[in-house]
Amino acid sequence: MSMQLLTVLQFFYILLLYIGVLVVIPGLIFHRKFEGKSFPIRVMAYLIIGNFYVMNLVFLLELLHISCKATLLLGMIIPSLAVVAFMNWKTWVKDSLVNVGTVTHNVLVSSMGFKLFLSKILQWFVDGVKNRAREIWESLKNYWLDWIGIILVMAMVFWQYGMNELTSMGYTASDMPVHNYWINALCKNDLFTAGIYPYGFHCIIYFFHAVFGMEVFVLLRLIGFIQTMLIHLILLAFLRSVCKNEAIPYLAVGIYLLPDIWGYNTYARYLFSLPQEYGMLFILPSICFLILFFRDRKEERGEKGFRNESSKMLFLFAMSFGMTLAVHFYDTIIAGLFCLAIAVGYLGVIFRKAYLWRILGFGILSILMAVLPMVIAYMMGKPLEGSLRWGMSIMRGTSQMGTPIAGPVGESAGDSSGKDNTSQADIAKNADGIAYEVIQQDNRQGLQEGERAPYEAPPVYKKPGLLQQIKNRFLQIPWKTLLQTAGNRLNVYIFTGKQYWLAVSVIFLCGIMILCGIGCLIFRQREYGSILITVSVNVLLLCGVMVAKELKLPALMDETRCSTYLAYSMVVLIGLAIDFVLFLAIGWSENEAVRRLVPAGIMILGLIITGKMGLLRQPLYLEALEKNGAITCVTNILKQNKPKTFTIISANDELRMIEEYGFHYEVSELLWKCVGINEEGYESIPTPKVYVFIEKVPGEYGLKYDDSGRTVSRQGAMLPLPSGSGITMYQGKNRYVTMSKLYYWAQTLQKMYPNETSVYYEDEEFVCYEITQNVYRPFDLTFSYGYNNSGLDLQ
Amino acid sequence: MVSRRNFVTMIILMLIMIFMFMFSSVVKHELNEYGVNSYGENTQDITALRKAYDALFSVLFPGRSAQQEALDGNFREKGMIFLGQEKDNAVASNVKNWAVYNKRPSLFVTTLQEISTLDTTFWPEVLVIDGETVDWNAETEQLLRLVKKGMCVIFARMPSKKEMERNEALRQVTGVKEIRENQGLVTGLHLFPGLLIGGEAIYQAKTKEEDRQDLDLDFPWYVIGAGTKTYMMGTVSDKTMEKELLPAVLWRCRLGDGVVFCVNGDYLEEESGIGFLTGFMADKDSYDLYPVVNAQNLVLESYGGFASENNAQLGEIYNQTQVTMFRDLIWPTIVALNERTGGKITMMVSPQMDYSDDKEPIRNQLIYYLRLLNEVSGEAGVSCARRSDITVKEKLEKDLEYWEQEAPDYRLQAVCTEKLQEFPQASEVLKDLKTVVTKQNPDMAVGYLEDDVTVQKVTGLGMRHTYRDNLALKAYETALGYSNIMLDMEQAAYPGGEEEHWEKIALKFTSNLDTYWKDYAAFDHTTLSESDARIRRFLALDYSDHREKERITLHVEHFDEEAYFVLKLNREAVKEIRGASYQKLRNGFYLLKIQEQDVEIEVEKGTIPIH
Repeated sequence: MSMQLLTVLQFFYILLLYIGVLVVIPGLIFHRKFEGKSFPIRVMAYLIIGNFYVMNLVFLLELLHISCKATLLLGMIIPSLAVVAFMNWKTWVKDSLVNVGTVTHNVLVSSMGFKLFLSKILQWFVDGVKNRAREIWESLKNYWLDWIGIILVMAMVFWQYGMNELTSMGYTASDMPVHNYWINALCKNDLFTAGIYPYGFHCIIYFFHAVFGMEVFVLLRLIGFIQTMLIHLILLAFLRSVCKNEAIPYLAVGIYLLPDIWGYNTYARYLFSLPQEYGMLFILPSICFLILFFRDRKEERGEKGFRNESSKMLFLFAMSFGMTLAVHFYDTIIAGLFCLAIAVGYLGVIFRKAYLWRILGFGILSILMAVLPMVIAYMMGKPLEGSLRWGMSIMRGTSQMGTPIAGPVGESAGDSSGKDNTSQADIAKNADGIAYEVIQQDNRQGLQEGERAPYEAPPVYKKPGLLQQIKNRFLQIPWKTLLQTAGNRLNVYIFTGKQYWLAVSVIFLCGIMILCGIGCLIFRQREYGSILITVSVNVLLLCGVMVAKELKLPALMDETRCSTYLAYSMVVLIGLAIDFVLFLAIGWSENEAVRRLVPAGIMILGLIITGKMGLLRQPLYLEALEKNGAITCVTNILKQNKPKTFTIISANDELRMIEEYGFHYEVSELLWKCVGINEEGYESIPTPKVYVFIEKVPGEYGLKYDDSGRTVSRQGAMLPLPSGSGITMYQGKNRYVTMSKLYYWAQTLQKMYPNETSVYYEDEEFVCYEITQNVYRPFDLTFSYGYNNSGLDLQ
Repeated sequence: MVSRRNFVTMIILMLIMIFMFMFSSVVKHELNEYGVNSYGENTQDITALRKAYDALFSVLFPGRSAQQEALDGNFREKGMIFLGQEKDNAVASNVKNWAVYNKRPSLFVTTLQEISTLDTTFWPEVLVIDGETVDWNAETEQLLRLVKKGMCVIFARMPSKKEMERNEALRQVTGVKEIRENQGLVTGLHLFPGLLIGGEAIYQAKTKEEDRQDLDLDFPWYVIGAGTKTYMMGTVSDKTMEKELLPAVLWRCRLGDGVVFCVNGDYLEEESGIGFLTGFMADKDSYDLYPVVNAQNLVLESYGGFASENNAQLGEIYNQTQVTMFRDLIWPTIVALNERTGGKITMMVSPQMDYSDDKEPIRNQLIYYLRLLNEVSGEAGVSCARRSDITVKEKLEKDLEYWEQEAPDYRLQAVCTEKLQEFPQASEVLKDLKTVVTKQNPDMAVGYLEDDVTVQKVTGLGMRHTYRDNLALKAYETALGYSNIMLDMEQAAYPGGEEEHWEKIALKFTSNLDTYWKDYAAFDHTTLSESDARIRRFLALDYSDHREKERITLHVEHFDEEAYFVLKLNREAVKEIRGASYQKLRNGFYLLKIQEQDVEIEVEKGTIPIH
């Protein structure tokens, strides 16, 4: 079987499991609760419920240190059955139980034959299948255009992002091994192993690993594409919920996926399997449910109590919003900004008593739900993880620079970027973003020599008045320049750097849309108007984040990262703008064909123009940090060896991939031990099989150098062995030197042990050697291979 | 009341039942040709095989100089040079036997001077060195040079410890990193899988009372370093000691382009040492092919269930006569064990042990046993054991009288003697004699004793299986695919103490056989006559093999009906064989039954399932 085919099979397996557990099962349990809601809303609701439950189940079991396959399964099955029984007791559960009891009794007393019993079960099963098939057929028949649209969107997503999964099989972000490590720790019931951090994403991966036995590294490799697909489908569902024209969402998603107008930063992260992207799944649903809350609440006319539709929506909002916090802080920031935009969009109603307290209450509840596991862990003595400290400093506005990003390849989840070395005065300065007037009396004035100074009072900060603050902050801002800066920044980060006019027009579009929204409000299209204003304000707020420095506001996140969210929000804006125009143009038409064909025509026309102009975006390819051969070898090694009977000698990524199944030995450690070999030295690895991973064409690991991409050579092996700690040994030229030395080490080993060392796998860029040895007398792996120099001896 | 119809039906059913049970017994009895030795009808041309062997022997040991041999190209394929003293040297003798079995043209020298001038293309495949009989002052430098240039060396016996301590070059050649004092710390040996057929074994007595430990544990403590592979090492009771520092007993070392195998101990002084030499050579390259006998014998020596000579003692112990004890106690146990192990019995008949009394063997008793033997595909031979003071010749003549009475047409081809000196007398009496089994060390495992008679060494006694016996069994199986287990029934007939009561003997014998023989189930079980025929073929054949990419070709000279080879593959597996059938043993060993003179073997490397 080829690795590509296996990848495809694994992908479909994971997709099936994901959809089955996190969408279908909640759907089966709660489908009666959402009767009457549209399909996109129901799907979003089930997805939110599924994710929320699994995350919190894992949190609970992990905190109790009893998480394993059995408890997770029990935690899934028993509450599911209980909920089904509770919700449907009077409708069918009671009757069904009575029927089952009667049938069982009849079978036991032989008044019903076993054949009849079997035929009844078979009939029940066949009826069930027939009913479900009929429902699916009805759905396909009635919504065939939508299904075609969904399939087209999925095909486009696969074309853009899925192809990379088949060509680059390794991790694409440098911090994925860290997340892999944290998930591995969950298998040992070690929650927050490196400190308290939003673990929602890790819980989901761990759940599928623990329950279905899928290796963590396979899940991490492939869940990225699944979440990317879901992000686009959620965007589609959101637009389907807010647009008046049913075809516009497909057009908007098409604009997001096909034309080559979007900057690389806006979509590059879709190739990563990282928490931030996973958290994006919950941003739009939270906003959607909040909008639905307003819609339902309006219909309820201020009805008291919580047994109503609006409360249900608000609860879903709370779950979604909470999950953004449980998965990644950045998603919470974005969702928070969106909520702020909603406050503007729904300014007319939000401060009403019937709305405000409920929203606030559920908002607080959502945060509490998300932080509760972290608070419990904190109280149990777990420290905060570096990224979390940094995140909290951002919220306090005390961070000097709101960017923990390590480089284009990923976020520094494992870094302690939260080192707070700013002085108290700096904090005071940065907390509000304005300069405080420091009043310090010099008590030393007038003292004689040798005379003891009296008690020095700490400096007193005099906070300027509100007006003064506004004046300091905003009135001095050169707005024209700011607009230009925003345009430039959008041009660089959101677009391809050649569409300044497009960037500026987006800002103007926001203004126009706000005006349109106000117009809608005036013409009694209140909800639509509020949505237009909300979406526009949200885009403006995100633009504000992009130019936070110029606005003298704390930078919530760096532009690169913000651009992903901004582009995602812009698609909503563009979709709604087209929808509004079409609403004005053909909104009067009752003919469904006209309503659908016009956007379809626009889409086809746009596609032709895009194609003619050569603006069709090509699929995104990103070279993985690890060679495909390495992933192939890891897959085979795990398949062919019993647990804990093998060791992999490799650079770094495999360390966490095989942590649960085998042992890992760092190349750097081995080569350094070969440097100072002596009579007494003996370095062995006591496993029957040892695999050595060598990149014949060493990767760069995110650090380009002169002659990048050259093959290992004697010249490289002759260079001094790189020193340093962590990943530096394996980046850039250091990796080339390390791999060159390792290559010649393996050549010598093969000469010494020709029958015990064989080539396990080899392609043009990668080779893996397999060493078979006796564990009672393992080979000494430190020997002279001709290039044992450390460089220290040369100096 | 039973109706007439039912009564008739029942009668018919009973008749059918009786017929069905009786029929098989009657057929078995009537068709059993117990009066002739079914293994005596072999059409093998013994003389031709012997001639072929003699011719081969003269090729293997021409007695010319190394220079001449090398230039003739005789060494290139499988040549062997022995460095050391040849006379009165057990190691040299065993190496010579090994060369015969492995069909290696050989030369015995006392200095490397001749070899060192040879071009590498004329080098023999292996240089075997008896380290104790070499002048290392003169030979060390040359040996170091030869090894670095690619010579394969086997130290059949290591140089003395003093020499090793003194001679750094020797330490370099043998891969010895450090020499420590043994001080009685070694408590056992650990043989690792891969070297010998039969696999891994730990020779460490669990208690002090355990008397199985008879291996030499007082050997020099050599700690070996990088580039070495250990096949057997000493173990210590101190579990905290790093295993890398434990003393090596059998190991391999690579230096330059050469490879050196070392034996730290006296194992090559025994005949079974040939197994280590074979194991070393099999692990040298990617593959190795060598001929084997493929025979597993089970011999019941001095089977005395024919005359009631020791009734008084046996009656006291078992309340039975000697005849009934052998018939009702011993034989069922033997047959049960035989069925479990799938073995074949060769019963060395001893009609009488004491010829001074008047207790003659009972009539028809031999017929009874021959019939039973025939049913289990066994064979009868003659035992030379006796308790009275008569010569072997007299005993055999007396026994033959009984044979003439009972089974005059039975060809007695196998005889068992305690001492080889008795053989001439036996051969005078036994006209059909083909093979001799002896407990005495005959200086060879299998071979020719006289013109037409082969000798088969007893490789193990059923009653006792010490660690040395176990190691020897593995070695014999590896080198020859041969074992010959003997159970002396005399002690059952004349028990010397409680330990020699049949229930104790049976317990030990069956447990030993069940435990230690099962690793070699792939080899054929034979009677002594069958084994004899295979030995003759094995000794007469010569072979050459060649590898090209994934194809190994084997050509067998003097091929006679069948031949057996062992194939050892170190990194690969057999894909297909033409001209032979094969059976997989463990650790890369395969047993090949050659059916044609030319054999083609396709091998394949293991492939990963996902690529």
